[in-house]
Amino acid sequence: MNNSFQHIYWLIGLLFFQLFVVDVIDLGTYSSYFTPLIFSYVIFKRKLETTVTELLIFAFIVGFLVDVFRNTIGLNISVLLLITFLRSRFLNLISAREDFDDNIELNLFNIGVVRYLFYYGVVLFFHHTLFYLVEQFSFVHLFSLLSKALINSIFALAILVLFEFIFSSKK
Amino acid sequence: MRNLILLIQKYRNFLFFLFLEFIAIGFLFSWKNTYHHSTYISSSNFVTSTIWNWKNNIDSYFNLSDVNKQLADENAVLKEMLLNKEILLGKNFIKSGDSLFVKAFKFQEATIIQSQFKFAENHILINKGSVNGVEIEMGFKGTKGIIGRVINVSSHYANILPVINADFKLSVIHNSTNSWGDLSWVKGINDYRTATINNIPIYAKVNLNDLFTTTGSDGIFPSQIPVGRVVKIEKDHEAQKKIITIELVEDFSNIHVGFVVKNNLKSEMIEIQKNE
Repeated sequence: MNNSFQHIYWLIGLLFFQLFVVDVIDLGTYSSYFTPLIFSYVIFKRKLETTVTELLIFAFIVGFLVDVFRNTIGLNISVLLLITFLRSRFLNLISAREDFDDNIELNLFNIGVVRYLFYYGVVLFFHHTLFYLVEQFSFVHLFSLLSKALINSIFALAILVLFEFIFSSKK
Repeated sequence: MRNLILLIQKYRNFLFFLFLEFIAIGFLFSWKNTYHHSTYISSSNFVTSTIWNWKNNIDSYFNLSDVNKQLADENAVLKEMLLNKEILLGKNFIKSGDSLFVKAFKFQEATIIQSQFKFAENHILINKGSVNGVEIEMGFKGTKGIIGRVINVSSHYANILPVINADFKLSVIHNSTNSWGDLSWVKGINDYRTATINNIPIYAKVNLNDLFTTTGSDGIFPSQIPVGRVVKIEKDHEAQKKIITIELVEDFSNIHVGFVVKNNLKSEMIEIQKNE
């Protein structure tokens, strides 16, 4: 399969799942504890050789698409750009750069379960925390915000692992 | 000069990041500040609203029983009001063609094709737009009570700012004591079923389960439309006010139909308020 097409398939699939499945699930009073954001995966799974400029442009497009559907223009773009810029720092957490090839995708089968969970766990927790901070636009109720971010990143991670088993393949 | 170019080259990723981030933050603030003027990039544009409409066409069949029940409930309430009125006035006193009576409010039925309820910034999209006479700053009422206010209109769709958004403000009235208060929705405290009312004086006798309704003073909604029922009362002794939490009569996770409220006398009302 052509590589850039694969990114577009993942993007459309994750956006579809985000907007039409995750966002409309109603859990009563606990609904705010089930608002996971899963679309950052399409940026963070890109190969190590991808340049930061390319990633930032891609992040801008993804954020724009999500924002225009949710009617929150600017909210997702700004948060996604920030965590995309910090991607190399997150990558440093899981290993030294020499450990993997530059041209593999960072999916579950290529980097191993432990590193996968650690890398995406940290990324998703950062993404959720920043997102809720910008959305709420204040530091009040910080504890409930953090617990919300933690619970939602666990849900997002579970959804991503499920997607990996269905759609990803070992190269 | 060469050093400057080298510096820019060295930090080009960071500078590019800053550039895009500034654009994003510009978007963010222009959107946050659109209290009453339209944004061009919103979900009522052609592409996104068409996609939301497709989605609604697919899953609206699953909600039909809910919609039926909501409409039947509303029908029952309206019928009760109508029949009570008839007994009160008697048939002979109603004059239909009298020019003294002006119909102030008109209602336009609309289907909700997208509703958010679990975020800190919730929005609603409906399938009626400027072609159907919907304008900015009109009210939007559900089958049980108020839902929100129109903030953005395209030709066939409109964005609604619901009660469960922190930008929504409205004055409400306590039905049994006639005290006025300010309705707001606080991020992080209220969820989609509750809202907060401030500025009720501390001496007003407010009981649990009392009804709050619209005042009609803003010209967006008629008076006496239900907003919510009291579930919690707190006292702020310093300001001599009560802080009241109400449970909204509309269940925002389960709304499918509503009515755009048009006030024909609004311009007159604004004019007279200007002269004060």
